[in-house]
Amino acid sequence: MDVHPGCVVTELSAEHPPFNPLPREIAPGVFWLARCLCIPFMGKISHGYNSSFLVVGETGSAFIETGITIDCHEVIRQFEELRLTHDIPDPTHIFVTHSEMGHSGGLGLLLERFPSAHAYGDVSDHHLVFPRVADRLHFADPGDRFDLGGREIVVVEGVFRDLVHTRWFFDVKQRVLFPGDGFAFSHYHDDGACGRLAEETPDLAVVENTARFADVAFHWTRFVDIDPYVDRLQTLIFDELDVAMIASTHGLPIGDPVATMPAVMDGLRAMRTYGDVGAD
Amino acid sequence: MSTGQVVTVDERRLYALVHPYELDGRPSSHPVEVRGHSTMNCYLLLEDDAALLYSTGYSVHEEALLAQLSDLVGDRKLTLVIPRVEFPSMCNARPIADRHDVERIYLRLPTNASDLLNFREGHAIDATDSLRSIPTSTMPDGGHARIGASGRRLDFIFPELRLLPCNWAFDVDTHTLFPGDVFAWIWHDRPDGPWLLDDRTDDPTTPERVATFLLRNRYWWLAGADVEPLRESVAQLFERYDIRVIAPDHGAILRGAAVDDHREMLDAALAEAGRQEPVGVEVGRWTSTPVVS
Repeated sequence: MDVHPGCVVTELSAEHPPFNPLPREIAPGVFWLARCLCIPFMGKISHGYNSSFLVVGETGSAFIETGITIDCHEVIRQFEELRLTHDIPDPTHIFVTHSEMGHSGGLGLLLERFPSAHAYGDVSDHHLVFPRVADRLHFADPGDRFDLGGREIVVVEGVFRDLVHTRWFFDVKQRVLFPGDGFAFSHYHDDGACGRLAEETPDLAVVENTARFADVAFHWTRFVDIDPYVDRLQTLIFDELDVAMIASTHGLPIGDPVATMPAVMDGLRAMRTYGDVGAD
Repeated sequence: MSTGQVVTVDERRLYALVHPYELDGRPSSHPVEVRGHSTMNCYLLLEDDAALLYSTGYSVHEEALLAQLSDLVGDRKLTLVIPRVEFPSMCNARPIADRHDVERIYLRLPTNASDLLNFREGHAIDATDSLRSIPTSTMPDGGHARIGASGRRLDFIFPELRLLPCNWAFDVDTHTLFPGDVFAWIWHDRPDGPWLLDDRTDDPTTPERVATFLLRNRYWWLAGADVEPLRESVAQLFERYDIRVIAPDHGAILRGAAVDDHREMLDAALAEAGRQEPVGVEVGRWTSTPVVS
């Protein structure tokens, strides 16, 4: 199996060559920090992200998601790299959508590295996991607002989720939605997708990759009618928030929701039957 | 600091290492409105020459768990099984590996143990990290782990009834099912239990409690869902295996008559959930406001 530069080959635990297309500024003051996790699939190398995003305000900056444990040291390294070339205040907030490893696995390390930061969101269990920083863990509910100085993060309902108190976050300034598990889809390294927006990757196959990711990670979708979730997503994104960019934890960022959302919605509808037609 | 309890499930074969925690709205194991105490359960499968620890528990229970392992494991070789990609399974793998002769770790993800499990403050990835040299295996459905020279078998099961990707397991020798976050609905007002039930004596469970446990927390999506495949899968599991003990990740262990009672309560709860109206969209707006003591 080929080893892709900058990608973590989970089967081999390879040494990581120095190249990775990330970090990347995907909107003014919003940086994408991550590296790919790659798993062999049907003769190709399938990639997935457990991304973290950095939102920069005037008085503070915020991580949104922490990366899975495997990635957290890389997230911190990319943050330090950005600080060499950008004016980035100390992190004051760490927003986590929920307490699963791919979303908050790096929380303890980030709180240790940045002692003035507090964590907000679904922080279930974290007082049992990181007891030394329990006083810096705070639940947040939809409608809560956080000021980074000239920039506000708003807590949004988690429309598509696994754990019950999952929260999404919205950067009001650039109208970027951070939907955690929402809009999760894998990509193929060989398609040149790593580090790119969905719209920059013509061969992305959003429908198939969305359905396939759900087959692995969102088993509950096989037993429910997904249409009410699709309807709520449409209303939230286009009517209520007027979202300009969607920065999912597991997918490629979506820079043109109007153009790309139809394929994502088709992928959501394909989840229920994906395994039946053969994921192998 | 709680010392926890060692609950003997099967003398010299299977022990539950039970660590109480308060239900104050913050643990993800229970609905936010539930109050009382539950437990983090790690299970020790013991043979003369080897041992297997199923789940490694929360960080806050590290000292108590290490003390229990020191007493029970001695100098046996130890295998770790980490069946969930969630904190309850994972927190103490590093300190256990640093103190015991761990010969293999079973993980859900195809990665090395050091990369995945060194997430706590102070757990540096350096020469002090015992996880670096321990071989790992994944846990395929139908696969198994062996314990010691006797070849005692722990079967891995990929359950149909699940929220997050996880394994269940079945200990063939003691007829014990390990169902993760299901059957974990027995909590008590007091932290001292009892945490082993052979019948309905001291069992506070009602159908309403089971429904609340499932539908107000991890299994919110069952309301209005197509539950028949799930009921069938659970029934098939109990036909396939002669299950005499149910050993969940949280709360009381069920043995004897309690096994059938709770299997029937699960089936009834699933059936009733399927008759309800879906609430999946509204769940996103449920508040998480806990009461912190």
